[in-house]
Amino acid sequence: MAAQSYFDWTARLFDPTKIFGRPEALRDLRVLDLGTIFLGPTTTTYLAEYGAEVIKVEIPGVGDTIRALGPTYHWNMSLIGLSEPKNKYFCGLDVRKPRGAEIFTRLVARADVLVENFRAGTLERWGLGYRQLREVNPRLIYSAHNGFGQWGDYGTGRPSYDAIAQGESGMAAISGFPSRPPLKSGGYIGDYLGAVAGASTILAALHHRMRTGEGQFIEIAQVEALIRMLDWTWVYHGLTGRYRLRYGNADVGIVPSDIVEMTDGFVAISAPTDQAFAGLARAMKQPDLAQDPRYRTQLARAKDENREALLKAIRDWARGLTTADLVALGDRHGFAAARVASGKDHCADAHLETRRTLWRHDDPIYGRFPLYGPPAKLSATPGRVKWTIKPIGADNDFVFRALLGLAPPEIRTLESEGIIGRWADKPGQKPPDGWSGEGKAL
Amino acid sequence: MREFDHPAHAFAKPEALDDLLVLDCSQASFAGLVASSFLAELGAEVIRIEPPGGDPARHFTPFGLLHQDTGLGYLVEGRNKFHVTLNLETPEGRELLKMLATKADVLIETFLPGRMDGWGLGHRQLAPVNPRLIYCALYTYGQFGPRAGCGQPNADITDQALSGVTFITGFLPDGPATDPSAVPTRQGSWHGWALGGLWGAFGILTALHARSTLGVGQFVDVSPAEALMRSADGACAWWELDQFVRARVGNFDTAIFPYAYFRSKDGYVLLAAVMDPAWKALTALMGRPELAEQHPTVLSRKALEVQRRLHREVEAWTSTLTFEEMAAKAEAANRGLEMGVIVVGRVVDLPDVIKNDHYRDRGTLAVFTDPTYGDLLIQFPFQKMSASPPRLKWTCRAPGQDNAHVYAKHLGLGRETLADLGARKIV
Repeated sequence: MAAQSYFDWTARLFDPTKIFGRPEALRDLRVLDLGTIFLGPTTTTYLAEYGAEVIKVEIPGVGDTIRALGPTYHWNMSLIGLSEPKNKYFCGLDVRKPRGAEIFTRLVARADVLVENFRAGTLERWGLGYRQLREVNPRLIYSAHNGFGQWGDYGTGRPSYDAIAQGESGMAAISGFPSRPPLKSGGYIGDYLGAVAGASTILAALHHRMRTGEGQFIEIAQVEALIRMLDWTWVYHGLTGRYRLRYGNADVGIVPSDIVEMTDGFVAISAPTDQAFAGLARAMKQPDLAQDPRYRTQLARAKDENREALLKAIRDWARGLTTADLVALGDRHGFAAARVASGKDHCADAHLETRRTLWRHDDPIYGRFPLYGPPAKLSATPGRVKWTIKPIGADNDFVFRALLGLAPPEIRTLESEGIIGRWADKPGQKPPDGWSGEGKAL
Repeated sequence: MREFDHPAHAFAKPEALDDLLVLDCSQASFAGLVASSFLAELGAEVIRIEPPGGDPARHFTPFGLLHQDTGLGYLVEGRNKFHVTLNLETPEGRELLKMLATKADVLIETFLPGRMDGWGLGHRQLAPVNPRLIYCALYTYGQFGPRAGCGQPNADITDQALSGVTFITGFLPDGPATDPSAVPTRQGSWHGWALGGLWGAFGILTALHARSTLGVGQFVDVSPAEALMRSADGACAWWELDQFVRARVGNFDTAIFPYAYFRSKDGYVLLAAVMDPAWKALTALMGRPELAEQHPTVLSRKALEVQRRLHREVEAWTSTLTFEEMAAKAEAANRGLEMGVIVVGRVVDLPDVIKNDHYRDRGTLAVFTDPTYGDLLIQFPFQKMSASPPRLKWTCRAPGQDNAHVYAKHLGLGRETLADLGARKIV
């Protein structure tokens, strides 16, 4: 009864229909986004979902590469382009040219945060490095994101992609099966991890600024962020001299934890505590397993010979069940069991939809399509999606007129000089056919 | 730039979050531990509250290995935290936690939803005594929604499985026979917990920022499964817009070729030529320009069977070269490219990371001498910050090792009171 009233209360507290009636946490922040392909831009996406005013600055006629990252196009926009950005203002400004850099510097003077992910030193060549911009705005938080860091002898001048970060950090080396090569994740996990790590670090720097008035320079190196998040990999080598291997789906540190094949798909199953293991043993109708000295404790179950015997017993038992059977047994007996879910499964998942993690978006430019919504649910200042991407330069008037006060003739001159600009006539850049201009900020 | 933000200078600089008091009550979940580690590395005073006997997460350790009674995963994530024991199953233990929560800025917990609430320690009960408290709960299914009360425990593998990332990761069978290594595959590390913890930290810091204007704290609800789901971006739209189920593609990419791992003379490499001109330049380097003529556009190379065929062709070339040779050739070819770039990167083995001086130089991965646990090869904070950098002070403590200090500092409980509470199994 008490538990039921708890869920009634949380359902009201987090009521997703009230999201747009509640304030935004980061609404007092202005963020400039000078990045491409996930690592930098996704960092600012997360800040924008919680209310920051993010101005994405793109090279006219070129833009962020994600605009052209297939796999398919809709309304002249790639699927990834439609899915990734949120709530940003899109302007076209060629910061590589001195006049463009000068205009950008005026934006910096009015901004709290700048995020970039060029190769180390690139922005300094254009007069937009931290040492230059802090003269304009000492309160600026300047966050430079790349593969290997801004200084040092390894890879700092090289471009880096997510798949390189997975490869260089050891993440790929410890993922997959021993009989196979190192495994690249199907998701751009190095970028996405780097992005939330970067966004959180920026918020910490803002807290420091609130206390001291002082801005600062931040480096987020994608490889280093992944190295940090590889749990016991390094300590294990230091203490034993051995190297962590690829162990497939079985976890050698939490037993049992594995992915089993059912008649109708794959299910992850785990009993991370002794209590959960007793529940699993009951579900298997072998409650004595939980008293067996080979399996009674996590430490005993993790020994090689015990782990392998136990995982085999679980696989053999689970094989005859359906996914729904196993999940229901997990609910009833208190162990973890969940389908290996696809995007299609997500779209049919009432739980995710209730939580607006499956966000049924209706875009001002592109109309209806589903997204993954803000993952951290904040009761008082919830995150939200207002729009996703726009054509390059769609918000030029808002940025250059409303924010910087450039007169319309001046904007036209800058356009004719190629300093300010919009989209090229290419999918990924240009608006949907027949676009009336609805959805621009000004 | 090196002098500007080198971690060697960290201890001469202030800490970003050293005005925060954080209570981490998480149990049997590294998501909570990662969240509090993030805050502790940046200076927050974090009090780890464990049941007497310690957090079961201390026993999540490869092959059951312990170092001074502590699992290897926990050795990494006990960093900079004060460790106390407190039995929340007892009314007196709960009363002590409530007193701590009255003065805390942040509370983190990973119990089943409603457990803390049932103990009188939920956000509902703590907010009236401390309106500024930011209460962060991490649970696979979150705090509301039809599955929130399902009763299943937190587990990294279910977080990964539910996220959609596992579904799109792993090799495909080479033939019709079942191959146990050609299945949906998890990330080797506890990646669901890693993303859950980082999103927990992000939610907490976002709420902290809001508190500066609202004046009050709030409830932050994070599902690690949903946190990792963001790494499957586009999978749901792909289904609804195209009726296409995004599936696993081995070491290829769903949309781009080449953006894949290849065998080289000295290990695996990532070779990428995302834009068509770069692909054309690559086939010229290979001496196989007809491949670019047959498959000139990124769309014409997308189909999995095409990727597989082209992969064999490209690998015939990459396997004759070392990484350095390939990188030099790519760099030379890139100079002639107006658009696009050929990118080569290493897919290393762990010894290459451990022996790479770059990471020692940057203070990323090095041997650290912990006051309690001795010399450990360990990962340091990943961020570099010029003004308020993160730092590693200690990596772990034993359960209750800081009882005397913390209970004296925050609750005024001295030696004899603690002895009495200990005798009654409260601390």
